[in-house]
Amino acid sequence: MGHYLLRRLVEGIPLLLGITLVVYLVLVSIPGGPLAAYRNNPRVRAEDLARLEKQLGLDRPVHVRYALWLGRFVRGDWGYSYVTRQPVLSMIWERFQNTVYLMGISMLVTLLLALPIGIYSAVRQYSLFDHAMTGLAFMGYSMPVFWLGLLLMLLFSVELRWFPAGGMFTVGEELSGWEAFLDRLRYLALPVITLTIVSTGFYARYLRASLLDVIHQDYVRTAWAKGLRGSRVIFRHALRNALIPFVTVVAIHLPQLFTGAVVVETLFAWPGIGRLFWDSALRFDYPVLMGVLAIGALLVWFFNLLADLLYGYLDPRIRYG
Amino acid sequence: MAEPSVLEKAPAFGEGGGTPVEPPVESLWRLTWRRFLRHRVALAGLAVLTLLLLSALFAPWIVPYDPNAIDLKARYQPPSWAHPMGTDDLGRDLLSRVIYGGRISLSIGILSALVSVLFGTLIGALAGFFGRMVDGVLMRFTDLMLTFPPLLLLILLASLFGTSFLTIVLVISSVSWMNVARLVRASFLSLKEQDFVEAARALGAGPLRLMVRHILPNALSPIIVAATLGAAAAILTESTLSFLGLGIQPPTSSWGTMLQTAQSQISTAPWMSLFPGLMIFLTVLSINFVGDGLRDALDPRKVL
Repeated sequence: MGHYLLRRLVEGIPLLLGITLVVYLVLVSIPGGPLAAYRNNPRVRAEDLARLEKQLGLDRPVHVRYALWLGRFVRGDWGYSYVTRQPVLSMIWERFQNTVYLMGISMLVTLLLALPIGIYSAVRQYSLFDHAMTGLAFMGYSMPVFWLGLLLMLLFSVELRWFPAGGMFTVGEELSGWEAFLDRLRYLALPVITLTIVSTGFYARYLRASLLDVIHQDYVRTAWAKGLRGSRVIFRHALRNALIPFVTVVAIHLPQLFTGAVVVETLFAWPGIGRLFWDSALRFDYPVLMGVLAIGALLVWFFNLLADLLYGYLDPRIRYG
Repeated sequence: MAEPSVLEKAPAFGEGGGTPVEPPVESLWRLTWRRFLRHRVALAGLAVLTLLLLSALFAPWIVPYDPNAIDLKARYQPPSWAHPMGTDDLGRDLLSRVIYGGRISLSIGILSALVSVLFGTLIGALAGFFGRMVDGVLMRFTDLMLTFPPLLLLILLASLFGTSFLTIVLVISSVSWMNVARLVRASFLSLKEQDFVEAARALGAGPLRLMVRHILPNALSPIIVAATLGAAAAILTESTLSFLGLGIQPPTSSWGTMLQTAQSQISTAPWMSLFPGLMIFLTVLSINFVGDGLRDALDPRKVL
């Protein structure tokens, strides 16, 4: 186990280095670069341009610049946004919290719905409920997220006026305690409903499939044969094993909580990290793009490793060599 | 007198003259098709999909209006008999635009799925067949691509390389080939050890012939399913890119681009958002149903 962990950690280093290097090379190879606006301006003199290049370190060879970037990155100095001049790390941190807040709550609601739905449709396989669930799940992941969001917006904020169409809380009003809580809840409603509709079907289907795998095994039949109550067989015997692949698939999807749902954040004007990335991509704000991609890749890698370890921990039949 | 049993009726082997009756041999494709036909939802999906493909193919002959004809007197008209899906901000007929938009969305979806499956199969086949160094290098590369958060990578590539038809296809395929590569590698790893491959090798078949003629046909089932589901995913991805402003640029409009323009008029002209989105939804749903039916039909262990 210790060996396995060590090997995986060591393997991760070239992987993450490779990713940052690839992104860096792609970004610097784009014609123009951060000084494109000045280059095309006849009033900017050549020596000023050269001075700016020197200031930003753009006159050095690429590998030197990458090494310098990496050195600073590891020490927590992620540079400054070309657009807002703010430090990248604090920009990302601020947006990161908003994203975790939105995506965490959506994930919670999704799982709270998916667990009972998945269990019930596995226990009553091929029942009307099961067929309806399968149909709805297919519809959920065949739907363009932003279209669903638009329709919900049309219904709940344009027609019924129940929920606001965008933002995180009411700006300019001093709310406190209970009222502030309700206010935030109202702003959460539409993005959370959208994300939940899209993803609940996937998790419910996954749990259904892994529960069905288990339900027909001998030890479950033995439990039935012993005369145990149905709920006990399902929850104590079958579900515990069925949850193993389910937990790992949830772990693999967790990084999405942090890299954010760009689409939902854009549609509902949610100041999260996905939207920050999109804004930065449109403005060629390289330091921010590098920061978000590096942290995103780190999280994907970390949660994949976590999922593997979790799998081995929950299922003692798995041995890591 | 009792009926003779079936066994007694059948001609005994080696007598009765003529050759022994052989059971009709059914090719894999016939068998798959027969199994697919039992999947009612998948059949419905196939029917809808065929209709959509035909309407995209014959768009110039079936549209009621020129999709780009601007009619400022007929702006923002709700659905009516004259304009079944209404008109947009420039008075263009939405039904005609939706039919033409299908050409872009469907062809981007199908082409992206094809490119990503071809590339994924190539990488996976090489890695699985040759093993060792080749496998190591190619799979590290695959892992590297898988470690990028997919949507972020997509946005980055699309914003850097622009929004022409071809770049969009390439950008979508470049973030979606990895799972196919892993799938194909796994099949190749197990198939290359089998006796029929050894036999072909003994007969003097080279690596290329072994891979293409002997191993690949046996690894096709998961590839076909992945390609089908990949087309659905690619259509959704294209619409997402368009929605973020990184898709095909006007006046050519995919369904996603139409949705993006419609978004700001959601409260005044909701039909502008409704129909293009509905088309994406219907298309992707149909393809997913077909893919699911194919998966069941191609799985020999699955009892239908």
